[in-house]
Amino acid sequence: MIKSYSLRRKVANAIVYTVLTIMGIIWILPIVYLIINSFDAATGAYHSYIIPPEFTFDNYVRLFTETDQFNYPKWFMNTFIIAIISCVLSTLYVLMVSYTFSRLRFKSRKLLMNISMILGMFPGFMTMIAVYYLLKTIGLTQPSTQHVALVLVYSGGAGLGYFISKGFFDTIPRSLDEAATIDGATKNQIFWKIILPMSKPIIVYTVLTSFISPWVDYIFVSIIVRDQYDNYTVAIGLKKMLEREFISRYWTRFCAGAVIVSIPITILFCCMQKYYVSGVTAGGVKG
Amino acid sequence: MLSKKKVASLILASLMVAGAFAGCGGNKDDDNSRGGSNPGSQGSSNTGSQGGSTTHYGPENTDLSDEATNGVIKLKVWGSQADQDILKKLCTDFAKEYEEGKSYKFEFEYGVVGEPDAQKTITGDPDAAADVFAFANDQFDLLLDGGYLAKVIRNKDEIIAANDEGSVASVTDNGVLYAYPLTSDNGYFLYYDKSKLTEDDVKSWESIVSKCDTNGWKYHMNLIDNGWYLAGFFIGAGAQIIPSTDNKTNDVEFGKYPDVAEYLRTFVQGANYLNGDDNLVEAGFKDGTLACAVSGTWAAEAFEGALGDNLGATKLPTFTTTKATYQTGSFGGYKLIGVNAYSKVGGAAACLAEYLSSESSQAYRFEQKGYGPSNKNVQASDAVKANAPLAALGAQSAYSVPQRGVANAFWSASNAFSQAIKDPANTKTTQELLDAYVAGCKEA
Amino acid sequence: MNYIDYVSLNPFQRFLRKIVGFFINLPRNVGNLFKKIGRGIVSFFKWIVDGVKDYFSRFSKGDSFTKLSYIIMGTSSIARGQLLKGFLFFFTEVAYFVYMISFGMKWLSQFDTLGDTETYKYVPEGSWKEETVQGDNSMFILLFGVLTIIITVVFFALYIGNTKSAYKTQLLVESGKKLETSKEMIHNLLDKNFHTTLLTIPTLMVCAFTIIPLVFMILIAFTNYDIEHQPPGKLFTWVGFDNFSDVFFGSGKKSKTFFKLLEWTIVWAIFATFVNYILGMVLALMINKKGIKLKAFWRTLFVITIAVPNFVTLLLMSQMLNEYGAINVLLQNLGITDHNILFLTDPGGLIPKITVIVVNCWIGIPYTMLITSGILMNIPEELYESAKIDGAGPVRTFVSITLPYMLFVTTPYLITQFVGNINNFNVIYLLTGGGPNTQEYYNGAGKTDLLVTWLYKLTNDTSDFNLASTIGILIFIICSALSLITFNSTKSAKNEEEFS
Repeated sequence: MIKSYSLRRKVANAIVYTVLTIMGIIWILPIVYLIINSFDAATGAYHSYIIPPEFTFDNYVRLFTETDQFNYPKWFMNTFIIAIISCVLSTLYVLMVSYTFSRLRFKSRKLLMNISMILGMFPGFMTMIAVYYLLKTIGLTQPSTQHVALVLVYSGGAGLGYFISKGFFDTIPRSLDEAATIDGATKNQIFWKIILPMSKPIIVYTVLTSFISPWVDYIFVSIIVRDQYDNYTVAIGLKKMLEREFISRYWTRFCAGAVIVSIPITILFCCMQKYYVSGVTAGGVKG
Repeated sequence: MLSKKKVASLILASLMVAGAFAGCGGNKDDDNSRGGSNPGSQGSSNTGSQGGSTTHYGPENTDLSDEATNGVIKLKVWGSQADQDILKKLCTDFAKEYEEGKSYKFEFEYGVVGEPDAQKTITGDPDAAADVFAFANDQFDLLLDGGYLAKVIRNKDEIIAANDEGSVASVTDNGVLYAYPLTSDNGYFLYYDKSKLTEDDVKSWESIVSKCDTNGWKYHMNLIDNGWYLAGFFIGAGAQIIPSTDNKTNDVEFGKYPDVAEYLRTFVQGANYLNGDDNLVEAGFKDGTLACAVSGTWAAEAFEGALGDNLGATKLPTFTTTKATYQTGSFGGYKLIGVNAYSKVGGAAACLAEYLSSESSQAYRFEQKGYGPSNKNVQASDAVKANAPLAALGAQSAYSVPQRGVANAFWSASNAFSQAIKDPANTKTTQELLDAYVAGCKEA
Repeated sequence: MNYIDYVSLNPFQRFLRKIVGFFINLPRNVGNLFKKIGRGIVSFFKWIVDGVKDYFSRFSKGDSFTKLSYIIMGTSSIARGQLLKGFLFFFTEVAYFVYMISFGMKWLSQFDTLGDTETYKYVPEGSWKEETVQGDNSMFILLFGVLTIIITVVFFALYIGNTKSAYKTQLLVESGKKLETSKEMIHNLLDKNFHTTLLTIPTLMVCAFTIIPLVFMILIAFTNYDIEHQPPGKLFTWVGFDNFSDVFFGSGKKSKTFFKLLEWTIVWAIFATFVNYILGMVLALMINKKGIKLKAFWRTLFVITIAVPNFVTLLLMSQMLNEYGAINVLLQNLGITDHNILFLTDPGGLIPKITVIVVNCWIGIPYTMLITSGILMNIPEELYESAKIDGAGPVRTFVSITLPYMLFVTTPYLITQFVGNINNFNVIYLLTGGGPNTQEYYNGAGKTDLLVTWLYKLTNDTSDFNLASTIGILIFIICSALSLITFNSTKSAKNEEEFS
C-alpha cells in the first residue's frame, strides 16, 4: 500500500515536472527570443533562422551612443522620473481613498464607492482629447511642462483604483482602531501611525503597479508629447522603432531597448513578489 | 484667449463693414489687422510694382519684421526623422539668406512628424502644430477641407511653372494652389532580381508567375490590406475612382471589371505569391527566395543593399485577363510642403516653405537621400536621369492616376475585398465580392 | 446558506447550485437594480423639493446676518466669530464670480448652439499672405461649457451648505452653545471629518482627469462631431439621439457590425477570463504541489513574463506569429507544417481568434498563478483529507473541491477580470489590429476587433468621434450594469460590514 502510494506520488510528480518544464519553455521562449534578437548582428526583422549566426553587443552600445535618431538614454530618464513622481502621488491617492472607504463612515460613502467603481469602466483613451485640451488650458502642454502633464495624467485617476487596497484594509481588525481611539488618537494619527505601518504588502503592490504604468503607456503619451521627440518616454520610443520606415534598421535595437526596460521591472518584481502576492491576495479576494 | 477672440471679431466686424459700405476694404482694415502692414504690400511697394502675381519675391524684397517679436521670428518645422539633418541644413541656409540686412533673426524648432502622420498630428491641435510641414498627397483633401492649409500666393506662377504637372495638380483646387510640391516619387513600380528575371520576363505578370512557379521563387506585391496597391490593377484596366464629395465615401467604376477581380483572386492565391512589407522583401532579396517585388523609391537603398548590382527597376508588368491585356496602373504620389493656416508667422512660413521646395533644395535632397524631385529642371539633370528607380517610376507615371479625393471607405473596403479574395475557403462568386467591394466604397 | 452547508453538498450539486442560483437570481437582481435606480430618482426629486423648502424656511427664520449670508457667503460665520470658515465661504464666492465673469460666462452662453461663427479666411489687398480669422471653436465651447457647469454645480452645493451653516450657527448662538472655533475645525478635519480631508485632493483630481473629460465625451455622442465637422475649421452642433438610432436601427451594416462585435467581445471576455483563471490555478497547484522542488525557481520563471512590459511582448509576439515570423520558420524547420500558418491574418477569422485567446493566456496565466497561490494555500486542509479518504484522484479533487472553493471566494476578482477583458485593448490592437477585415462589417472593423478597438479605430483612423463616443457609452452601460448587478448580489459585497 505504502509502496504503491509512494510510486503513484513519484509518477504524479514526474508528470508535474514534465508539464511544468514544457510550460516553462513555452513561457520563457519569447523572452529568450527577445534576448537573442537583441544580440543579433543582422538588423532586419525577418530571418530564415532562429538562432542568429553571429552575435554582437553592438545593439546595446548603439542604443546609448547613437542618439540623434532615437535618444534612448534620454527617454529612459524621462520615463524613470515620471514613473517615480507619479507612483508616489498615485500611491498616496489610492491609500487615502481606500482607507476612507474602508475605515471611515460618512453619509454618501456607498454612493461614492459605486460611482468610483463604474467611472473606471469607461474606455480611458476616449477621454484623451478632452484631457489634452484641459492640460493645454493650464499651460501644461508646452515642451518644458509636458512631463508635469504626464505625471498628472498617470496619477490623476488613481483614486478610482481603490478596490484591492480597500479589500486589504478591510482585513485589518477594527479593534486596533478602537483601542487607539480610546487612547486618544485622532483618525489622522491612526491612519499614519497604525494602519500604514501594517500595510506594507498593499503599499508595495500599489507602488509597483503605478510605477509600471508610465513604462507601458503609449497612447496618452503620444497625445501629450506630440512632436516633442526629446520628451518621449520609452514606450512610445520603442513603438516608434517598429514603424515601417525604421523596423528594418531598428528591430534588434528595439529588442535591446526592451530588454533594458524589463531589467529594472523584473528585479523589482522578483524582490517584491512576496509583498505583491500577499497584498493582492488579501485585497482582491475576500474569503 | 479672450483678447485673441476680441481681435478676431473686431477684424471680422470691420471687414464686414468695409465690405458693405466701401466696396473695397483694402485700406480700411489697416488699422485693425496685421494684414494691412503685411510684408507683401511692403515688398511690392519696394519694387514699385502693382500686381502681386507678376512680381518675383526674393530675400531682397521681403520684409517680415511685423512678424518678429523682440527681433526674433520663431518657426516650427516638421519633417520625418530621417530628414532632420537635411531640414536643419536647409533651414540654416534659409535663415542666412533672409536675415541679411534685416533687423530680425530666425529661430527654428524642429518636430519629428513624418509625411504620413502630418494630417493627423495637425488636426489634433493646429495651434501647437508646425508652421511648415511636409505631407503626402493622400492627406491633401482632408487638410484642405479642414482649412489647415494656407493658400500659396507668393511667386505662385513661378512655382507652378517650375514643378511637374502631376505634382501641381495634386495640390490645386479650383485653380488655387495650396501647397508647395516637394517630390514626385511617392509611387510604386517593379523591382526585380536581374539574376533571376530578364528584361523580357518582367514585361508581363504571366511570364513572371510562370518562371517563378517553375523555379520556386516568390513574387511580391503588397495587395492584402493595402488598397493603394490593389487599386493599381483596376486603374490599369481603366476604372475610375470618382473623387469623394464628403471625405468619407467614393464612387468607383470597378464593378465594370469582373475579369480584373477574377484575375486578382487567382493572383493572390498563387502558391508563390508573397504579401508583406518592405522588410520582408529585403529579407527575401537577401536570401534569394524572391524574384521581384513592387515598392517605391523609399526602399531603393535597402534593396540595393540586399541585391547590389543585380537590382533592376522597371515599370509595372502587364496582365492578361479573360477579356484583355492591360498595363498595371498605379497611384501617382507626391510629397508636399504645406503652410499651417493657423500659423502666427504665416509670411515667414510661406517664405520657408518656398525655400525648402525650391530647385536647389530639391537638388540637395536628391543628392543626400535620392528623393525624386518634382522640379522639372532637377528632373532633367543627368544625375536624376541616371537613377534607375526614378527612371522606372517615370516610366510608370504614364499609367498612373493622381490620388485625389480617395476617402477612408475606399481603403477599408479594399482591405475587406483583399481578405475575401485571398481566402480559398470563401465560397462567394467573384462578382458578389466585387459588388460588395463597390458597395463598401460608397458606404459611410 | 453558510459555507458548511455548501461543502456538505456533492460537487455537482454545488456547482449547479451556484450557476443556477446566479441565473435564477439574475432577473431579480436586474429588477432590483432598476428598482434601486427608480427609487434613487424618486428620492432625488424628493430631496430637491425638501431642499428648496428648507432653503426658504431657513431664510424666513434667519436673522439679518443669516439673511445676508444668502447673498454674501460666510457673513453669518464671520459676524459670529468663525473667521476661518466665514472667509473660506466668502472667498469661494469671490473666486466663483471672478471665474464666471472672466471665463465661464463666455463659454456657457454659446453652449446651446456650440458656436455660430465659422472660421474665415481672406487675402488682404495686394498681399501674398492669407489671413485666417478664427471663428468659434465648438470643441472648446463644449469642453469649457462642461467645466463651467461642473464648477457651478460644486459652487451651488457649497452655497447651499453655506446657507445651512449660517442658520445652524445662528441657532447655536441663540441657544447659547459654544461655536466650533477655527482650531477645532482643523482638529475635526483630522479626526471626525477626516474623510473630507482625505478625499478632497483625490476627488479634485478625479474630477479634472476623469469626470470632466467623461462628461465631455458622453456629450459628444449627441453631436455631429465627425471628420466633416472638425474644429477649428468647422463647427459641430447638437443632433439629439441620432447617433444612437444610427447604431441600433441605422444602415444595416453599422448595427450589424455593432452586434457582431458585441458578440465576439463577450465570447472573448468569457474565454479570456475563465481559461486564464482555470489554467492559472492549475499552474499554481502544480508549483505548490508537495514534493515539487525548486518552487521559487518555477514561480520566478513565470513571474519574469509579467515583468516584461506587455506591449513589448505583444509586439514581439505579433512579429513572431507573422506569416513569415519565427514561429512559422520554427514549425517548418521542425517539419511540422509545410506552409505558412496565418496565425494573425487568416481570412476565415477563426485562427486569429484562437491565436489572440492563446496569447492572452500567455500573458494572463502567470498573473493568475501569482494571485491564486496564496488563496490555494488557505483552503482548509481537512477538505482535502476527506477527499483523499474517499479515494478521489487529483482531477476530481480539483473539480469538486478546489474549483468551487476558489470560485466562491474570488468572485470579485473574476468580475474585475471580466470587465477588464471587455476593455482589453492592447492584446487585440497590438497583435492583429482587429484584422482580418471583412466585407460584412462596417468601414474598417475586422473579425477580431473588440468593441473597444473598433472604437479606437473610429476615433483615430476615421475621426468618427460621435459614433465612437456612442459606442463608448454602450460599452460603459454594459460593463457597469454587469458589475453593479454581480457585485451587489455576491456574498462578499453583502458581508463587507463584517470586517468593519
